[in-house]
Amino acid sequence: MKPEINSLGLIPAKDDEAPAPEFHLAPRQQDKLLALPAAPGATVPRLTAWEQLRVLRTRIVEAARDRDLRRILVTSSVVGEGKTLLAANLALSLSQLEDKRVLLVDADLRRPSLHHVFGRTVELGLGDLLAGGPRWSQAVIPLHPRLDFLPCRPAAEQSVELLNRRRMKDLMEEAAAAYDLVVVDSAPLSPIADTQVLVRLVDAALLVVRSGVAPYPLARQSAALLEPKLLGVVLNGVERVTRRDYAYGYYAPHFQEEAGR
Amino acid sequence: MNAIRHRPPSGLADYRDIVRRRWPWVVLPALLIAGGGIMAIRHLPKLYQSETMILVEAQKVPTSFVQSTVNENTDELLQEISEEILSRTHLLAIIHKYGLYPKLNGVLTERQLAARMRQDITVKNITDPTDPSQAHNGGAFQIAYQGTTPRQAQEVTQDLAGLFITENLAVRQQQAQGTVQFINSELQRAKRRLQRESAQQEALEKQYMGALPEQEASNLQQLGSEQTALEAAEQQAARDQQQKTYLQSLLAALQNAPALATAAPTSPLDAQLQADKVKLAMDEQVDTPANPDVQRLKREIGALSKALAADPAPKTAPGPAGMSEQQIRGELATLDQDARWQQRQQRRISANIAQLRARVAMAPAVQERLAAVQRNYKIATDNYESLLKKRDAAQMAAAMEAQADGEEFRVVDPPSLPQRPDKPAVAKLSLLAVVFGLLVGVGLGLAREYADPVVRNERDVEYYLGTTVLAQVPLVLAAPERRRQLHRQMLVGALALALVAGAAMVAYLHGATWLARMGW
Ligand SMILES: Nc1ncnc2c1ncn2[C@@H]1O[C@H](COP(=O)(O)OP(=O)(O)OP(=O)(O)O)[C@@H](O)[C@H]1O
Ligand SMILES: [Mg+2]
Repeated sequence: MKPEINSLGLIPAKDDEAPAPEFHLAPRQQDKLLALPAAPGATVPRLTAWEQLRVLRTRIVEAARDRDLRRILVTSSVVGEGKTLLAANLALSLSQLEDKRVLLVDADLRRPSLHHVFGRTVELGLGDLLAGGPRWSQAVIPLHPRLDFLPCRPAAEQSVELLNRRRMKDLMEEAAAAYDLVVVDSAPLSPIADTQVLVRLVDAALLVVRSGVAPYPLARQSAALLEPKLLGVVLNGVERVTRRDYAYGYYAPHFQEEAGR
Repeated sequence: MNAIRHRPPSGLADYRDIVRRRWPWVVLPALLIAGGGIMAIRHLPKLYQSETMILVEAQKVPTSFVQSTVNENTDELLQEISEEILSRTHLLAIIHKYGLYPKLNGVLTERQLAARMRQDITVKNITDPTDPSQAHNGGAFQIAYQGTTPRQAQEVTQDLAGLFITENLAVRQQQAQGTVQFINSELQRAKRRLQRESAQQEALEKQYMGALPEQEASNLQQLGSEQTALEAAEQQAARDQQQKTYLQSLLAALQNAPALATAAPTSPLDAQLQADKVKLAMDEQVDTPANPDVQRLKREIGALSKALAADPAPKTAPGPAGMSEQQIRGELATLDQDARWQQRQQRRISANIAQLRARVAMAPAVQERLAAVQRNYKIATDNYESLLKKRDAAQMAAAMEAQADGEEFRVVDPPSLPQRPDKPAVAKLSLLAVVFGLLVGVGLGLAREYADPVVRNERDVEYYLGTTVLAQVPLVLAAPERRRQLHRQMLVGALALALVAGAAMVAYLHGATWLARMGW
């Protein structure tokens, strides 16, 4: 199927994986969809990113097997750590499993940006639903057969107050009922209280920590805030992947080299 | 929340990561400092050192004949001569002669200029007793000068050596002359003291004249003879008294029986003769026969005797003793006269004896005082004489130095013509610059690392957050981003290069002057 990937010794596609969905995006946006198989001649980081997203997917699926774990919050300590990118790709990766229907929610009411990843414009978003708009299914955009997307527009009202509404809780419960997995993108934990509200509404949380960006006092604080629901940390933007815990019988390819052009 | 400590690097991977991250912080300052430093060092003014060895030759006249009065310690001598030679006047003369330190000439004062030159001169005592060529001499020393060209260094060293040689002679002559002058002035003082002591002795001798120790014997002798004389006088007085008593009884008898009272001299001549005889007898007891009085009396007696013999006729009838009353009276008068004289004589002798006794008694005390004065006088004399000897020796030594026969400096190794610069020690200083640059770089890198409290890798997550890492997503850059990154890196490199080049340029243009001003 993807000989250049196999030749690098990366994980072969699993049996239960559906064929990769087609997204008609501009090349720059396509570059962000790391969960999709890499184009021929992709760089080593791109290949590693794809592989690491699979590792993450596996771990989440394994965790979800032991307990009821449907709603997953993706957050970070400060802005720009890659929450949005990771949420999108995690959702994409999960939705590639045959038996999973996935909903991707943009809950960053202040700076919603998930729709940019998929090149969408938003007419109706989460903010509108919370403010007392139509039923939430009307706002959902199907991205492909097993992946729906609930986008967001910058909210006019106080975002904390919106998220605190009963309607948000209901919405999350309905989504958990309707989908196998709900991935929620959020605002950073550090300067605002929005995400602390969201934590109460989800089953688990992933803390995105961007290498060289996240100040450790804040990252530590964030981990403490998320504590009982914290599934683990996703280190983003690393220069090299350290292979300690998850050696899959192969060694990391060297990063600095290009995989060929 | 209490502050979390930075995770200390553990294991090679951490160090490698730090190096990967911070190498520009290390390399750029290191490059800048080392590069700039090396540039500056290479363009430091080159200094060439010329050296000459000078032997201190022993004096030509054996020391058993003439002992030099000049300092014999090579170190002290060198010190003294160096002070003279490294004086401002001498150095400025050389500076002007060769146009040394042209860049500093207007900038520094003459004093500073001379001080600057002094830094380039070394005078080193290299006396080595084990060196056979120095064995019989007073040691050796080395003069060195650092100049900007080999020839200049050689010429200046040559001049300095010449100065040392002439100055040595001058200093030696001066010292020898100074010694002579000093001894002369000491001699003057000793002479004055001698005069003082001798005057004192004379005064003392004058004061105790007669009581001086060497006069004691004669004093004693005189005392003895005076005592005999006194005894004789006393005996004579006793005899006279007897005679007087006898004559008085005679006179009394004559008055009672006037016939008997013709004991008076028969004639005036006879009376005269008798009186003279008595007188002579008395005189002879006191005075020597050579006494003119005695002589005169003897002559008188002789004449009277002759006259009497010629005219014995006029004979009056003699008294009972053959003497007339008149004669007896005359005799008594003479006896009285004699007794008075005798008394005077006795008083004189007694006074003499008293004086002599006093002198003899005084003698030990006088001797003591005199001995003290004489001792001082002796000391003064000895001192004076020894100084006289010393002055002769000093004058001889001065004469030797004046003829330049004393210890002399001789150039053994003429000033060398240096082949390669002695300063700057390019290799050593360059290494220093590199090491210093690296240290600064490492310091900056570490500072940068610790000033950046961020999470970087899996270990950091575990250390700071105590959580496991589920996955690590690498930085995936799109082609244009990669290009931008490449451009950025190239820009940084170019900037660094420009910086190094600029620093090198500045160092090249100004480093030398700056360093020179700083006193290099
Ligand atoms: N692993 C990665 N490789 C390359 N680029 C990345 C990576 N992760 C994030 N980015 C880029 O970093 C920028 C910020 O990412 P993203 O918007 O996902 O962060 P965020 O946490 O959602 O930010 P915000 O707090 O503003 O919502 C985006 O341009 C994204 O493409
Ligand atoms: Mg975002």
